[in-house]
Amino acid sequence: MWLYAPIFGVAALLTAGAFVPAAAQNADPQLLSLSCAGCHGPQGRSPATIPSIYGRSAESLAETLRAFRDGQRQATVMNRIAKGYTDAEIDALAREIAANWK
Amino acid sequence: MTKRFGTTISRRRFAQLAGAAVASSALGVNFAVRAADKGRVVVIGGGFGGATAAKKIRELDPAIDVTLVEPARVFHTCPFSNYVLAGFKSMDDIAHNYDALQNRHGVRVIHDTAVALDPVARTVRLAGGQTLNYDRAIVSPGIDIRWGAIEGYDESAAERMPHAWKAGPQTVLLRRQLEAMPDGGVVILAPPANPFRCPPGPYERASMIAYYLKNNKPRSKVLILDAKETFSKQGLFQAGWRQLYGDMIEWVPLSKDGKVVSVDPAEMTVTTEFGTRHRGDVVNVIPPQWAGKIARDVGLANQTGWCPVDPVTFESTIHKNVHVIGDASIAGAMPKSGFAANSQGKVAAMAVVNALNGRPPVTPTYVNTCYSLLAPDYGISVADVYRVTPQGIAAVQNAGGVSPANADASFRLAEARYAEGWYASMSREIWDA
Repeated sequence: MWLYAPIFGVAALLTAGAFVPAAAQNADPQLLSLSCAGCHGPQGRSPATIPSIYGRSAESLAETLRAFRDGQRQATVMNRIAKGYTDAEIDALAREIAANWK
Repeated sequence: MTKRFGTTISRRRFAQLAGAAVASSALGVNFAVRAADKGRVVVIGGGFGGATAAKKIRELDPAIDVTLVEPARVFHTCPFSNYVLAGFKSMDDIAHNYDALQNRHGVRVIHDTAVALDPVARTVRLAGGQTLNYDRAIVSPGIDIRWGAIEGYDESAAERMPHAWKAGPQTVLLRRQLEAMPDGGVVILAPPANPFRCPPGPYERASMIAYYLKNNKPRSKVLILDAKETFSKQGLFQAGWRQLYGDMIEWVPLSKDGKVVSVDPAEMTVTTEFGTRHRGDVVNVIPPQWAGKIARDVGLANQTGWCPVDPVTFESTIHKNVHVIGDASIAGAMPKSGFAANSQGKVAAMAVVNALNGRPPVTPTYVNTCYSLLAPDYGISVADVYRVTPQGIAAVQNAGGVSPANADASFRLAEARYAEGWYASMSREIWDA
């Protein structure tokens, strides 16, 4: 009853460990957004004290993250966290969240 | 990408639910009946790692059949269990069930224990006799206590000197012992050497016990006998202890004879490396640990007792098609925390979904934020973003770190509020709590 397509090609690549990315590669946008959900809630909808981040434009999200990163806006933990992402990751993350967490 | 709640189940599952179909329809829950046409995933362990992975796979691809094996019907979180010890949270506050995973997200939850895994046949056998087939398995069993690593600390010793390093009856036992202790008593905490589950945990626990004692038994003392020379968020903890509790908490590092090497539960004494014996009215031993039993029994652990994995996908480097996440895994710079397990669960879920869809792995990102309360209105945190480097998973440089040393009371209060907020958000994300 296993109606799945064989994936031996990919399995072989995984077995060979050929997919360790270079340190400079930017992370997958969906995984980036999922990183935020741990505190900001599923689909950016926070049930409690941490601010929700759904329903915002990509520009607003990216600008806020940069402000945290550069210390222009003071937070408790976000200054430290925002420094962990590249410019490209911030842009991709903001686009991903704006597109999906409405 | 379209996010849907899990709406597909296998034909076999539908047959099982046939009796409940009328009630389900009445509740307005939709079940589309479809065979497992992309593949089957078995997840072992329903904690922060396993429950996250199981739900995420269903959200990412409802055509994938997911079975979660978790012995407990109610999962009590270690995070926030220290607040039960402090007396301002109840066991109910840290309890989660699997109803949403099952009824809303289409995860088949089996309350049983996995006892065997055949990586060639790709089967998992349960204690009750059932055998499950998998295309991919995710093993997230947490830790087990290394009984006997401290001489005399076996399972019966834990009934007298609880570790409470797995939340549940041990938490209740330790709380009862604290309640029964007279004023002026000594509480001994004995944290282990690295690596262990939740690096700041023992020090948050010392804080929470001190909070309870200061308000109820103020002549009492907390003595930390540490097998380590330094500990997580040490500067912040020690400054906060002085400010909040004066000299109630004493910390003895490894070099000052802090390491406990044997215990005598009948006498309620512990003996340290240089032969000093300490008697406690309450003794909380947090012993050395290793990967949960199922991981070790099926050969997923190496000689360290923890499980080596590919840092990009968390696939085991020992058994193909099996991923190990959470405390049991060797995750580079990431700590053994619930938050880290949740982060790894998302990466592993996406890796499994990509593999079953014939897509290559993506570049992962990981994050961890650990909040600790020194008092209900005084919180601190440590946070890091991680990426994969040629040396494995490493924290991004010039980012992350701990709360500022010179923060004021309003900052500490805000972090205490955010600690609550994190727990509520993550509980909602994992268990729909």
